[in-house]
Amino acid sequence: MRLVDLLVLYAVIGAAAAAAIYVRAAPRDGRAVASAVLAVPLWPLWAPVALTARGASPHLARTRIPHQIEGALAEALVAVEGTPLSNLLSPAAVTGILSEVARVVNRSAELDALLRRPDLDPVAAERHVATLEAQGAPPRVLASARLHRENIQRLERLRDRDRRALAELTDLAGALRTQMVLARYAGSSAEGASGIVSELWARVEGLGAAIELSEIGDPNGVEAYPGR
Amino acid sequence: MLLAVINDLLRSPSGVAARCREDADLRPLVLGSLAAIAAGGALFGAVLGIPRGALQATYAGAKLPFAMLAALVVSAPAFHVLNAAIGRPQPFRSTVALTLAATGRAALVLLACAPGLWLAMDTVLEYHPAVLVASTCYLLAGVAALGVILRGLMPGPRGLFTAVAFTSVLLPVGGQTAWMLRPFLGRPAHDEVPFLRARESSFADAVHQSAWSAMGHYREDARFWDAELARDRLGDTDPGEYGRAPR
Repeated sequence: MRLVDLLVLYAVIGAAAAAAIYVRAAPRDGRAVASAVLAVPLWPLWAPVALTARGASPHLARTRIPHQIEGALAEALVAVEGTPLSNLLSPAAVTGILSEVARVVNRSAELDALLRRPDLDPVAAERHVATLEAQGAPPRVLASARLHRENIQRLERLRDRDRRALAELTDLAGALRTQMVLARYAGSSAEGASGIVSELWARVEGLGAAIELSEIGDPNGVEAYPGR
Repeated sequence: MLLAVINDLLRSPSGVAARCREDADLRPLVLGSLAAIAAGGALFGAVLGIPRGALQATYAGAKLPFAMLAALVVSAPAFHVLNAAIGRPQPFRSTVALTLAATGRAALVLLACAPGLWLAMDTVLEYHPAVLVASTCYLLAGVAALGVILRGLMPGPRGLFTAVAFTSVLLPVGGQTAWMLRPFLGRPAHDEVPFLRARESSFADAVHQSAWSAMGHYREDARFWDAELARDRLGDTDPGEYGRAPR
């Protein structure tokens, strides 16, 4: 194979990688184009990062969800500007909501990162417990392994809870936007919009609430140690 | 974002390595490292070529980042396999991010060396001393990069062994890549400023040849290199008896 052949092959793979990166990008904006273009000459280095970041990396959630919520709330703010509805949704209120959302998104991203560590892998922890049980390990060793597994499961539940809450909040912000736009142009009453704003606030406050022990289990895991 | 990554590369190699190890938020790190490699490599390359004029500076500035990235493109998969076999398996993107972050740090060290090298080349250094000083800058940059790599690998002898194995892959690959993309400084004896020098020998041959010559053992074909060196010292452009490459 000549050098030219090798370069052509490299460019073809680069083009394929660029296409894959662009197709999988969300949203397909200027950044997606730049990311795809970067993959043509540097696909061996850039493609693994750009492609596998989707859905697996915490920064996706960190950027995507707030962008959707932020966009919806900004449009809602514009829609109510100069109308009696502006009392329902002020810029300060939107800033407060976004600040709380960002905090939860970051927490979710940190939990994601933690749960991808090999020592916090739920499958490995489950397998370890099964191995110890099969080997007839002493009760205290088995209890430690079970506690480790259960703590990982609690972390998973925390992360999933945050994700669900953020997804619901995204939908709610979208509904608020359309409601405000509708109220502005159709001249409908503030009643419907008021209900959604109240619901939004309730969800945001729910995001900040402490996790109930019953929801994630006992963090001390005292009962897991029979001899304690 | 870019400045934050560059700040981390310079001031917190441990934090950068931990980010790679934990596979957390790699995308901005990789983009920032690529930018550091492009900027640091281009400016250092341009400084190398400045004594030979603007054209050589432009060529060298374009080629040096390319040489650094091309070496990584070839070496990163090997590093991933070595790390998985000797140390601790990690996602490929983590390995790529670690190598890019390390190279980004090296490029920033080269960038820091560039003004001093420029001043020295402009005042006291001739061709061969300039090559030696540039090599010392590369050594410093390599040590800085190795610091990030070691922090990103499994602690203890396994991590050290992985780093040594990776270095043994990266050095010849990087050396050969840079060799193929010569000239960066441009020989004073040459009137023209080529983008690439005609293919002659290889990096390994040159190292072998230089080692033998340094010990006082000259082969027949070694006389070509000696003739080149002599011409550089004299500023002679006549190819002479040994003016053609042996292979």
